[in-house]
Amino acid sequence: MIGLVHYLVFAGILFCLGLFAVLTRRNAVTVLMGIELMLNAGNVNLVAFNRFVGSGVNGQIFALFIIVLAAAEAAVALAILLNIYRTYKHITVDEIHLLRG
Amino acid sequence: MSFEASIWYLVALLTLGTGAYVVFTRNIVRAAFALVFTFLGVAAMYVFLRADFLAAAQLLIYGGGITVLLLFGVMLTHRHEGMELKLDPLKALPAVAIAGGFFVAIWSAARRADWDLVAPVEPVGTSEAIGSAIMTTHLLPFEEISVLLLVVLIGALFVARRSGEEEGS
Amino acid sequence: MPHSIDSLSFEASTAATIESLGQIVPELIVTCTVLAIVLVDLFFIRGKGKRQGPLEMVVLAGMGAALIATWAGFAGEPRAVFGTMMVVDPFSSFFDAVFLLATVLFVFSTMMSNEIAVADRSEYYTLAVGSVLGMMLMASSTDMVSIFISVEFVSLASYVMAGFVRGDRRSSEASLKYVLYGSVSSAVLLFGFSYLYGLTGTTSLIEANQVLYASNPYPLALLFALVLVIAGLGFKIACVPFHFWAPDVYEGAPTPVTAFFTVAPKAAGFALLSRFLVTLLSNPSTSPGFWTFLGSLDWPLLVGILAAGTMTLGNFGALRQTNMKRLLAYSSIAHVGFVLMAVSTLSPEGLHAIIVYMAAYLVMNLGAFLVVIAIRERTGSVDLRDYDGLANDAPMLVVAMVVFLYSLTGLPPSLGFLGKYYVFAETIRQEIWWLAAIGAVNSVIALYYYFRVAKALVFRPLRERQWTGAIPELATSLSVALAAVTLVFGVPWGAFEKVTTYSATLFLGR
Repeated sequence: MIGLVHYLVFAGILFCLGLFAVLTRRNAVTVLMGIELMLNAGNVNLVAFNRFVGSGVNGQIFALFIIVLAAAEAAVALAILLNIYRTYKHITVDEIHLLRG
Repeated sequence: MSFEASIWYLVALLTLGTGAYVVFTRNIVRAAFALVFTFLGVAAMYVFLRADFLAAAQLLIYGGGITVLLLFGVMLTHRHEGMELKLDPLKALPAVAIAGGFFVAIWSAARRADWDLVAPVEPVGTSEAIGSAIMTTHLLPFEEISVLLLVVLIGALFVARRSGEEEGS
Repeated sequence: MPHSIDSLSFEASTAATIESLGQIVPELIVTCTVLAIVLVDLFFIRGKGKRQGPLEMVVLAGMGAALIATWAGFAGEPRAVFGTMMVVDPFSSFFDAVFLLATVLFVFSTMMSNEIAVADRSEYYTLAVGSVLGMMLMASSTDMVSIFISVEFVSLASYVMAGFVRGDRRSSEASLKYVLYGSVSSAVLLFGFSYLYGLTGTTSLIEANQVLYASNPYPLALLFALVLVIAGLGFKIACVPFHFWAPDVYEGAPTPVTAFFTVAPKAAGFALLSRFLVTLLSNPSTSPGFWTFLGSLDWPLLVGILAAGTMTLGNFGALRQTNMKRLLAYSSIAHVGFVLMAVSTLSPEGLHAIIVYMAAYLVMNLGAFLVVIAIRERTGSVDLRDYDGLANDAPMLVVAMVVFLYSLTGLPPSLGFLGKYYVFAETIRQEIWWLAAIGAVNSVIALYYYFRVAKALVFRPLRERQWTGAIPELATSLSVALAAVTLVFGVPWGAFEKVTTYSATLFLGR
């Protein structure tokens, strides 16, 4: 029988995959993809806890709001990436370093 | 193993497999397409968890909206260079250590905590409950998020529009 | 159907909603200001040749009205509104006032700076005032859902504001770094919240607090959840080891935006962090004056270590800076350390110290930034090497700057001293000697780099150079006024003491 811990471990792996992408990727779009994986992992946790621990639909509503926020965040991040691309002609994160010290 | 459990394992494997592909592939377009399947897999997880409304929202917003946004991002920012990605082996080792350590922490927290489990009820459908909660108990966050979307999208439009104008001139 | 709405309960919930709306008038006024900016820009300014003035008037009027509403609600009974989504208490009202005052000064500093094109001002003010709404909700949220949304509100608006300058590489870089690191920290915060929800079965902090003390969950899982939450929030206030983004973002962002970032979102972060720790972890069965915390873990020690690391790294970073914005960025990290020192005492007196420190920091840091903006107008530079001998050029402005630097160091009599006094008094009263010692050493280090700026301004000779403009008159009068406030309130007044002590009242739902 699939229980709570199955979902938690699933979400944990998803989160760590996203974290790994964030830490190693140098292209800003792939970093964003990693962030989306991490947010999805959090959402799976919320919905799983809602089913197995909580009552009502509070966890699901939380997850619903997160999905909306993630969309807004992706929109802002991509607008900023486009802006960076116009000024730098690339979006390789660790080659953008005027600010140092 | 029951039928549902074997389907669950299959979906989980597919989701995590495509997720890993996103993380490890060297082609950014393939990464974006693999991500669609990860999002779909997560939607399937919501179905297993009897969260039908959320599964639909995941399909629409993640599977549709966010993936399209990311693909636009890929297409618009890779005209001057190839779609190939570089992986930095020097950064990979500490990253493996950090992500691995994180997973061990999650594993031990998830396995050993005595979760206060309740018997899962079988809901008929969650749309009505979510709808009434948004209009009563969760009214404040709902309204807040509407102001947030207004403000933030004005900001995002400003940043994106500006760069378009500059290219035109 | 378990969840179907019968008309009676719907009536009741509508009545409760209308009742709650009456309690959050300042937030409603700020929301209306956001809409007013958009509409005024759309119907009254578009296409008639943009000029400074109308939008600023709208923002200032809105902030003024919200300040009056905040003051009117200040003495009210602490209460929860919208269920337990948020609370209205003296603590949140005080921080609302801090955000609104910071916004007023932010509008003035934008008006005297040429970094933001006048044509872009409507989007600019929409984002700023929108983020103020987010901060006000951050300071009063007691539910993980509303906390997360308000934190994201402030963050998303900040990402765009950091990159607001047209075609400027540094500004774009600042926003890129901010959005990438910031989104990761949000994801970490969410993961922490999801475990906290799993451990307690509720998203309300007030209910979660009762569950935690009743069921005493597995400590490792609780530690894991709280460490993630503290890491996520620590990123937003730039505490070590999550501070690495701050110098770059603060240097690259337009100067008025930097001034705003160092004060308002930080104050909101501290309000949220202290409310979160107290509401979630304090013992519900003891009287409100004495808080004991979940026994298995030494939370004060954990926060104390963060505080010590933050102030030390911030100060050592500031020592070698020659860019004024970057120097003040590191100095702001050091000040975060001092406020965290007050957080680590986790007592009503500690809360009082946080309140006094944030009020002092609002005045002296925004004052210092006003001077930096004015000098940038004059010399076209924020480099310390261009500050030589400016005392001969703009004596009043430099006098004000010296007062701000004096106060930032924490010497008596000044607001900065008052803030440090309360922080140290509480740390010593609780006999956390090691932290007090580290704090004292850090105050001495800070003396060095603040003095370096004052020395350049006053004692070095003025060089021959091309001026890029004049010092805005508004800047001189405003900074002198703020300097006067810094000194006058440096003497402990009975009324000030009374107001700040009263502001340390939290609504804990018991």
